[in-house]
Order: sequence, then C-alpha cells, then structure tokens
Amino acid sequence: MSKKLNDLLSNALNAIAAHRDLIHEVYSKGRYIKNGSKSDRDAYVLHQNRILIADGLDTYRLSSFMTKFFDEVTQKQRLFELLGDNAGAQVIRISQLLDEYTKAVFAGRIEDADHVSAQFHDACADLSDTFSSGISKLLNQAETNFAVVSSIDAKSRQNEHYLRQARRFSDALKSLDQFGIEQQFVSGYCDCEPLAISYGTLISNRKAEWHTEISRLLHFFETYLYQLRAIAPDVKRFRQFANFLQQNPGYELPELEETHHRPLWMMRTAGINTKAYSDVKDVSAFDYLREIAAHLPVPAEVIVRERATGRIERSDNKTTETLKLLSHHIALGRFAKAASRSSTPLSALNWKREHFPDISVPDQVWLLLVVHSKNSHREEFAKLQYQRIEQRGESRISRNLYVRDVMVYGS
Amino acid sequence: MFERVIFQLLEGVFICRVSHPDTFDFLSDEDNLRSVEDFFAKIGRRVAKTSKQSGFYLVFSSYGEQERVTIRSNYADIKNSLAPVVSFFNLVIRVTGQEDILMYGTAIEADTLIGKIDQDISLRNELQSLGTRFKAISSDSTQRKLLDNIFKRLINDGYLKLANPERAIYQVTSKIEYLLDVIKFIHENDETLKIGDEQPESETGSLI
Repeated sequence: MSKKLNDLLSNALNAIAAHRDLIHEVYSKGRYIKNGSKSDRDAYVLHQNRILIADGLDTYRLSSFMTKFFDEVTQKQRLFELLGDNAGAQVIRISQLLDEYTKAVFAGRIEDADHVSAQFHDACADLSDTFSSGISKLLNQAETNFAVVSSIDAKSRQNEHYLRQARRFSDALKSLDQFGIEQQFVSGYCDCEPLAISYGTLISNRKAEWHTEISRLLHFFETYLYQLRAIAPDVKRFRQFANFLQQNPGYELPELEETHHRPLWMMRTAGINTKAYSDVKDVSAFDYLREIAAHLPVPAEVIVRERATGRIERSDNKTTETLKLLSHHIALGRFAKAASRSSTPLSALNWKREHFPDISVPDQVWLLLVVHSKNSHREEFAKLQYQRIEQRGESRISRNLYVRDVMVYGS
Repeated sequence: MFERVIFQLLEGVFICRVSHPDTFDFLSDEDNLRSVEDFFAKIGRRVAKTSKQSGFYLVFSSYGEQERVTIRSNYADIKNSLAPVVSFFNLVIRVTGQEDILMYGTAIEADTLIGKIDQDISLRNELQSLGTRFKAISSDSTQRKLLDNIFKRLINDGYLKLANPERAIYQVTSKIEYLLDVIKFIHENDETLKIGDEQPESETGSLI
C-alpha cells in the first residue's frame, strides 16, 4: 500500500477513534446539527474524512457505509431493506471477471491477469458477504415476525418485500449454477488455480448452507404471509367487536336458535374431569412421570415434641437395657439359614406356614419383610438370591403389580 | 401416548404445538390421528381442527337431544366469559400495538405490558376494571399482581401458556382461533351488532 493511502487510512481511523462519542450520537439521533459548540469542529474533521456527510447547510449525517456497518453490528431492523437485489449483479460481475482473466492469460498479459485475479477474490468476498449478512438479516426478520412494525397490514407488506428479497437470493444462487463457473475451473481450459481457490473457499463451500437457509426462509415467509392474510379479516372483526363491547358494556350475546347453522366450534364437547392411573412399568410413560415427580414438592418433615413440666435431672447412673428379639426377627433369621442350605428355591410363604404358623405377622407383611431383608446389610441375607412371584392387578386402568410369593435360595 | 391424548381431549383441552407439543406431534401423524378418531367414533365424538389448523379439539359427531343440552350449556359459558377475554386481548393490542397477538404462538411479555400500562392512567383504570370482570382482584392487589392474576385465569381457560416463567413470557394457544370463530358467528348472526362495514374477505389461498 502506498504511503499516501496509508496516511488516508490512518487519518480516518484516528478520526473515528477520537470522535467516537460524536459518531455514536449521530448514529443514534440520525443527524448532527451545528450548534456553535466545540463539537462543530469535530463534525468538520469527520466530514473531511468522509465519515459524516453534509446534509444541508448546518446538518451532517453518518455516511451510508458507516450506517450499514453499525446496523449490521447492532442487528437493527430497517423497513424495506434491499438485501438480495445486488446479489444477481454481483454474480454477473464474478462471471465477467473470470472471462477477463482468461483473456488476459491467453494474451500473455500477466500483470493484468494478477490485477483481475485480486479483483475476482474481492468480488467473491463481496458476494459471500452479501449472502451471509443478507440471510442473517432475513432470519432476524423472520424470528421477530417483523417486530419493527405492528399492524397486520404493515407486517404483510414487510413480509412481501422480504419474500421478494429471499427470492432474489434464490435466483442469484441459481444463476451461479447456470454460469457454470466451477465447471470452467475443472475443464482445464485455462490455468485458473488462484481464482478457483478464492471461489471455492468463499462461495462453493458455502453454497449448500445458503441453499438450506434460503429454502427455510422462503418457506417461513410464504407460510407467514398466508397466515397474516388469513387472520387479517378476523383481526378487523375482533377489534370492531371489542370496540362495540366497550361502547355497549351491557351488551349480551344473542340467544341460540334452533334454526342457527351449527359451526364446528359449537359442537365442542364439554370437558370431563378424568383421573389417569399411569402404568409405572410402561417405558413410554417414564418421561411424563419424571416430569411430574420433578414438580412434586418435598414433604415437610414435622417433628412433634411433647411439652412437659418439671425438672430436668441428669443422672450418671447407668441403666441396663435388655434387648429382646421379636418372633418375626427370629423367623426371618431362621428362614435365611434354611434358604442358604436348601438346594432348591424356598417359598417364603410356605416356609412360614410350615415353621411359624402361630406368628402374629400376616402373610403380606411377612413377604414385605423378606423382600426388604435383601437390603438389610446383614451377612446371612447378603448371599441369598431373591425371585419375586408377581401378578398383575385386576384393574384395567392401574395395572398394579402384586407380589404373591418370594422364592429365596443360596447363591 | 395414546392414553394421554384421549384423556386430554376428553378433558376438553385444545392441543397445539404451544400448549401440548408432544401430544400435538402424536396427533399430527395421520395413523395416530386415525386410531384416536376410531376410538372416539365409538362414543359419538370426533377430533376437529381449529379454523387455522393449528390445534385439535373434541367435538360431537352428531346432533341429538343430549348434545343439544351440552351445546346450550357451553354457549351459556361463552356468554359469561367472552367479554372479559375479548377486552383483555384488545387491551394488549392497544398497549403493544401488536395486532398479531391474535395469531396462535405469539408471545406476550408481561414486563413490557405492565411497563406501558403503568405509564398511562387510563390504561391502569382499564386494567383495574378488567380485574374486576375477571374476579382477579385481591386485597393486596398491585397492578402487577392484578395482571398476573388475569394471566393465570387465561392459562386456566386455555388461551395462554406460560412459555418462560423467569421472564414472564406467555404464548397464545390455538384456542384463540376458537374465540375468533365465536366472534365471527356472533357477527354474522346478531342483527343488533352494527359492524356491517366490512370489506369482502380476500381469498387467502390463492394469493401466494
């Protein structure tokens, strides 16, 4: 880069850095009006560097290039932005530059060829930038449903405009394929390697992604436009009705006549309160059950302490406590021993009926004790294998599982 | 999933992508829809779509004495609840300027809404009056509390879904299309309602 160019660039960058507050103000307010303050001089310097453009005698505005750059940075939405209009012309320019390069190579004009090659690279970068930033802005419009405008009519107009812009991008992509630039590179007709590299990196490698995004955008804009047009009469009717209600607060809906045509909404059934019993063994219900469980509040633990009157006495006298095993503890221990010695699985229920018929524990509780003995960490149960005999409940809705017996045997 | 869909429809809910995304996906499959339809055909009901096709709900498949009673009862409920709901959505349109609030899936930000209502005394009064109609006023009601109570009522009635609890963003469900259908019916059938300066509706299907 020549010294003169370097100086111009340095001056512009210095001016931007030194007067960034003023640039910020002009971008936010849209213009700067001379007011006799020190800022007038700063505005003049920025004008000298083409950052501010004179807009009348005493007014400056930000250069359109700077404005576009800041719009890009802040993702600011403008009305009726021209995003894809340029893309077609840029594609033609790339094709023209390729022709120019080929002619320069065949004529032996090496310097010209180098110059065109550099221009070709810049043209590819420009087109790539146009696509990337244009698609990004279109996506922004789509995601916010044209938030910059509010009425259905205005949204429809914005939608129509951006649908056209998306179609321009689509057309530009088609013409890229029609020009057959990639085919020219591979045909070997001319040594275009430097151009092929630029084109491949900046355009070919990204074409598939652009195709996908633009198809998605076209689908969104077309669907949304359809929805906007479909809802427009409803919105109008709704607002008229709402205004009517406001002006006539005592209004009552007409009585339903037998002669009335019955539209679909009128045939709606009344809701029935249902109670569902989920089958906890149904894998498809797991996510749903987990979701419910996650929202259940943790039960509060309430400790009730009885209040007592009197004195608290501390006694160091040791008391003797007698531990007495309950009959079902003894039965459980003996059952474990019998099961570990048995060569065949031992039925917990039959064993109890045979050896401890008079025990006060009912069968269901006995089965519960046997099932939970597995987790008791006692040595005699640790080596045992448990097999539950289960049966489905009769209720067709709950499908609860019942444990009928437990077969236990030593491992 | 089949069982859940059946119960949800029997409960009278509107199933759409906003309110019940998983069951909506299930019903969007033609085979699943057919199996649900077969089930309901046995009890004199069928699955209908809202007018803009964004949600499913359950309707009677025929019209008899029993259905007539239910339909009249439903209509009586609508008569009682329609005006506050319409006034609420109209208030949101006026405050935000967003007419697309009446489109299924549109988001309503409670913070933005209350911020704008707070700045205007007439809007505050309107919210207060709306709170009375929704029976949403409690003794310690602030404007925000009042608005939250109205949102809760509309969630219970199936018009809204709380999409983001942290940022208090609500989304409009497909039941809004049911509401618009009711208004269309009233507009067409009530002679006292002098709205008649409407332009002929455009043919939306042929415009694209």
